[in-house]
Amino acid sequence: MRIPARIVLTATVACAGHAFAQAAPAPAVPDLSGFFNHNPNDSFGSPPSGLGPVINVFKGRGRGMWHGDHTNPMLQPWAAEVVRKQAEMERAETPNLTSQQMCMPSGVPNIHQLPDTLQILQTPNHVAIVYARDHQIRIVNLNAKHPENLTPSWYGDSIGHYEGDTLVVDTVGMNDKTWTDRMGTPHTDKIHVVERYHVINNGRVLRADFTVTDPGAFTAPWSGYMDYQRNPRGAIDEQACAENPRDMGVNYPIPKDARYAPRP
Amino acid sequence: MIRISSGRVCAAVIVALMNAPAANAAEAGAQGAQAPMTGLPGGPLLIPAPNQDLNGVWWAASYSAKIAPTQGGDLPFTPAGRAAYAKNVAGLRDHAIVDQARYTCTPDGVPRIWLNPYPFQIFQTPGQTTLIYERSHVLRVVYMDKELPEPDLLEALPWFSGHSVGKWDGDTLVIESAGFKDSTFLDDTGVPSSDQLRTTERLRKISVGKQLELLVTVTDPVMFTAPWTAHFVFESRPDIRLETQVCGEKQRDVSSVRGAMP
Repeated sequence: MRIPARIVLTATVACAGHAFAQAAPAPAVPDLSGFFNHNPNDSFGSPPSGLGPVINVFKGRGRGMWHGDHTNPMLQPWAAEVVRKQAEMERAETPNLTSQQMCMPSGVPNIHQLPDTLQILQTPNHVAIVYARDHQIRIVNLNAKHPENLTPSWYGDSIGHYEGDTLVVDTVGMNDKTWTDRMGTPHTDKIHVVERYHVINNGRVLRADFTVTDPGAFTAPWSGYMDYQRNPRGAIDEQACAENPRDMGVNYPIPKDARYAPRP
Repeated sequence: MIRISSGRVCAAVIVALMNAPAANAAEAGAQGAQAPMTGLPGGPLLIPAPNQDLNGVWWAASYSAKIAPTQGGDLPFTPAGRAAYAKNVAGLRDHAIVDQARYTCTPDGVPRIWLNPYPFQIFQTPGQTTLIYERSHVLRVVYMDKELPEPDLLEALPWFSGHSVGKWDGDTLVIESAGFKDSTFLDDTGVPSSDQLRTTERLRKISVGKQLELLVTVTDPVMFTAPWTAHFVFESRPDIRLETQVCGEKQRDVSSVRGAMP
């Protein structure tokens, strides 16, 4: 059923006495509203073809949970070595902590590994992606350009636009302090991520497809995705990681001073 | 119970009509095996009336560590409040008390979050107004279609930022908050609060939309003999983008904010 233009017009005219009638008409945008989350242990999905993310080769035996495949051809040799070492430390149960375990921002695409709920807030000129986990926040400037000079930051600078049913988010200017994924895959501040958010499976799943380019760490662009399940009972409740650090059931606790040690 | 103005109803109706393709999908999907799931009824966008459009980035032009009541003079402390304040001021000076919000970056709470010299951004979506502050990436969700939780829950699950609900009074967004942790300070000098704290924030655009005015009324019978109100003004800053702030790291240059530490 299409709404005939005259009905919209009638409604508009009927409201003409109100300030609203002076507002610009709402552009049609895909509906990404609502709450979504995924299993904390979900890894990035691989594309049907081409270079994909580092795969978790942990098979449910042995120690640790996150054993990255350092033979992935998209890894430059130094990056492959970092992944190999992290898997080795996982097996020894002495892995480097993830930024999330230290209550630090996660960067992109690593943020897609965050457990807990996200909500996408759509306004005419901005999109905010807010995460219940330690109130992480990303703000996307719609139909805008990246600034000329960017100081590298945790989430970089994100601009976006809609393509049909998809929100496209382009992020540059991230620092190199975060991992690319849960397996410790490194990246440099040359990283460039393009994400494409859309709902699939009859609205039950929010898919975030992404492509990562980083000539400092990867041999070529590679792609992955994360599927989030819609959670009709979701909410963004207050979580303050610094006050209440949790390690999500991983078998190594957060050091007591991980957050409280003053940083330079 | 109709609390919204007819202008809001019109806005809602028109936005619903403009999001009609979503309704089409719902009809088509209902004939299939699984009914489709969608987000907010009426679609993702709220197009507020211009006088109720607070979306965007706002930034204070001046900063003061000490919160001052609009009626002038001192805050109306109870004896317990005065003693707690003196203890906080002395403790912050000799480091016997840690300012948790600055040392571990827990949320500042209300009204302290309004004192800071960093910008914030408002997102208005159907049923929800979200306040995102650069300071310690504080996130406040204000439900526009709910009542405050029952007192039992507020007591059992206090938050640094409190639980918040909002409604419109003409061109003013009125936010009621309760259920605060009693560990937050009300300003940067250590004005104390108890778990009896309640706040009412009244936000509206002034100066042809170039400024946002805020009146915060603080009620806390443990610390204060009477409610008191503080006044703030913020500038519209569509030219800047919020940064991710992590405590202990180099922050945005706030030298343009009067009274802010360089």
